[in-house]
Amino acid sequence: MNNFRNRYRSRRYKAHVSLVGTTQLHLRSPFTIALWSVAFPGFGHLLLNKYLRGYALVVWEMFINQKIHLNLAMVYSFNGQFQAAREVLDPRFMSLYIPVYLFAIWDSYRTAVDINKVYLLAHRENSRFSTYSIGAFEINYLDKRPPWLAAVWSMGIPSTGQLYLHRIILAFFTLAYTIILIAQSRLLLAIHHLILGEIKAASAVVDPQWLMYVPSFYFFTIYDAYTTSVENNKLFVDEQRNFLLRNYQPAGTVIPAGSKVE
Amino acid sequence: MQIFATFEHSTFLEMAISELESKGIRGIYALPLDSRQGQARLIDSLHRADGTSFVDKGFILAFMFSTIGASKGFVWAWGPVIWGLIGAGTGFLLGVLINAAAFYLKNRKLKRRKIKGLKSEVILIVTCEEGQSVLAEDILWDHFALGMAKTK
Repeated sequence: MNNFRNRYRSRRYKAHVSLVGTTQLHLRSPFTIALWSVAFPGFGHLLLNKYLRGYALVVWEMFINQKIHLNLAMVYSFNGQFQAAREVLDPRFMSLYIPVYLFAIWDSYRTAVDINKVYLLAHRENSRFSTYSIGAFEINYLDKRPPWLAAVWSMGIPSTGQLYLHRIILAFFTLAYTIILIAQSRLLLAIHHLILGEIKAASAVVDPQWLMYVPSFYFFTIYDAYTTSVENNKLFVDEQRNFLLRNYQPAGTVIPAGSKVE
Repeated sequence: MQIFATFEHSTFLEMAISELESKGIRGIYALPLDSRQGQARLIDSLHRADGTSFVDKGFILAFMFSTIGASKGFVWAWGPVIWGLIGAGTGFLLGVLINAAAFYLKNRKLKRRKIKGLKSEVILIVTCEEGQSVLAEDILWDHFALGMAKTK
């Protein structure tokens, strides 16, 4: 149940607080968004709160990467073993990868540019939007949350930063991916060996094809939690300003300038 | 009698207002302030994510260097995890340094004082009877007013 009915007939809303998450328009650097799509197709879209597109692209990327062994080819290429890279790539699906990869980068860039325009219009229109939501399953409201705390939770285990910010569906998706990546890459096993000082065993135990997903995924979740929290706070401030202006500036108020008393 | 108090934007501010109202104090006037702007600030830009943020480059370079480091780690002695972490740290620091350098070059000429700590974002002016002023003052302090003065 929202605290909001759409009787204001606004043209654009800059945010929506729903049971499962807070969706928000804000200014973004299109270049940064495009670079996150370079890291992992779909991440740019997730940063733009375009979740269905983002999930589709992320799932596709992992499917096709597993099919053609792109990550392994990357590991070989970075180490100058170009013949091994050639051999490990599976040509059957290889060309399927490229168009979708480029599309993800281009589309996230384009969408970021568009959403910036929409944001400016929505910001000037300054219409009211749903700021509170309570229902059988969840409660969501605007609040200030320290960005560093969201980032630290995400560093601990990706998805908790998102949960802290009440991006429930993104958190669920992120947690599922974290578990799959950790299980398949055996990263924690490698860290366990490292802690015991067994460097050789640690290198031997990880699976390169799966491990190579981890860096971009891990830093994405921290970055997402951090920036989302910053923007969430700005939204809170903006909404509270509007609330105060609408309700606590009664017309005809005269404030006499007295002198200070102790 | 007037009480002038400044606050940060927070839920406590609304709690203060609603508590004043529940005690029958009705003369409440709120004035949200515009924040100091003009120049990009390295520290303040932490609170922005519109392309001027200085963590953007850090995180992007962290994932790039970490990916390359982890790849090289399959051949280099210390293994993929350690090299991945070294790459991440190097990338992040490099990104932050690039931004710090850009910030320094941009702001070399503009030397303005930075504002640290809590900022006054709202002025709240409560008009009430003299008998209620102590109560109102307590309510405002209890909800984290940053500063306050009474006038008569």
